[in-house]
Amino acid sequence: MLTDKQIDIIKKDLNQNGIRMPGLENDLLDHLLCSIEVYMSKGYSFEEAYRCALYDLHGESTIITIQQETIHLINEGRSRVKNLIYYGCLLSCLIAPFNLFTTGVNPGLILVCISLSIFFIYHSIFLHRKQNDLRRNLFLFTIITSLAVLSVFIFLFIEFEGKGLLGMLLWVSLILAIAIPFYLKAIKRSLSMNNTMIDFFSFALELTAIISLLWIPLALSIKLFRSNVAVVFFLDDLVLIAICAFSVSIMLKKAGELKLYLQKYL
Amino acid sequence: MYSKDLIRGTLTPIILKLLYPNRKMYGYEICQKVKELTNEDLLIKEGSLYPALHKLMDDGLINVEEVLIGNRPRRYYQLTAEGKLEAEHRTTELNRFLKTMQLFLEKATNSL
Repeated sequence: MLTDKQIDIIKKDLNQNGIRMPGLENDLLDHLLCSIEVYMSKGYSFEEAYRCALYDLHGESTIITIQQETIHLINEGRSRVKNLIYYGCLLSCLIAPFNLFTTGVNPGLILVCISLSIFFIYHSIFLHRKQNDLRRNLFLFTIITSLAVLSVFIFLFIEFEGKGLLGMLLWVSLILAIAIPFYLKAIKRSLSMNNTMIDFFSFALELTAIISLLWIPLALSIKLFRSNVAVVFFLDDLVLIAICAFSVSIMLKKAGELKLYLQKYL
Repeated sequence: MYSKDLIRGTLTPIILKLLYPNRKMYGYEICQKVKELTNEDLLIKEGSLYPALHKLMDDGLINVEEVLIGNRPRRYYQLTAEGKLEAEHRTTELNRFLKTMQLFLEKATNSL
């Protein structure tokens, strides 16, 4: 059994070599450790065994090529159109609360609900399926799509007292259902690859985005119960901050990926 | 030893077959198992194995369970329900392909 100190040396080396993909780092670490143990059982010292294991792992090429190849393989089948739909629908979800401040039949609301449905169909079936928990996400998809359809029905065809309150609750549920798991996942991802300044800034921006989004339900409640408080402008700012922070964070991440590709080809 | 190109095309069916139906394996174990089963004729390089495993995971065909073995993390891979179907399909396809190649090689040799 290798000591904690020896494991730390290898872990540090992997990080210094730019292995930052969540999961891959632990895969390579365990692989190297198994290989080192086999060499050590043949009488090699730790240093010799580590050198041999490293050579077995990547031969003459660099260890970063394993990560580059992994990213390349994963991104191979993803089209730009899919990404465009995904982010477009996400944006629709973020601006959805604005519909609360309009009265009467609102074509914008219909558009947002349709976008939300597309977003959830896409997100649940195409993206979350890859997280191997289809049943849970289909359940989430069914609930949220039903909510979206129900809200369209209520807002377009039925007039009753407290319509605004119900509408607000529906939208708040939608935002919470989308934003919190989404950002928590993003933050978790950032924390697991917090080695560079780019990751640090991405993390900071995602944190700003989630704080802004979490503030929205509170601001909406203030608007509902204290209608004399002018929070609409404030809400605009919050949504804008969230969208900007999220967009910059994505750009920074893309810059990180670009750096990896440049390292490969230059 | 076989060429990298030949191995590349068969790597996914190999991984799926090894994990089929409910076997849990980690990366190093997969490499060693292939080596053992093929009398060291087929050596899967780690540089090909891990990208392939992550791609399969991204496609939802396998999932991973991370456990601590002593003082280190180990990632065990296992087929999902979809992965099991894919494993069956890929195995059948590979078998058919091998028969076709065999037939082709025999006929091509005889026709010369």
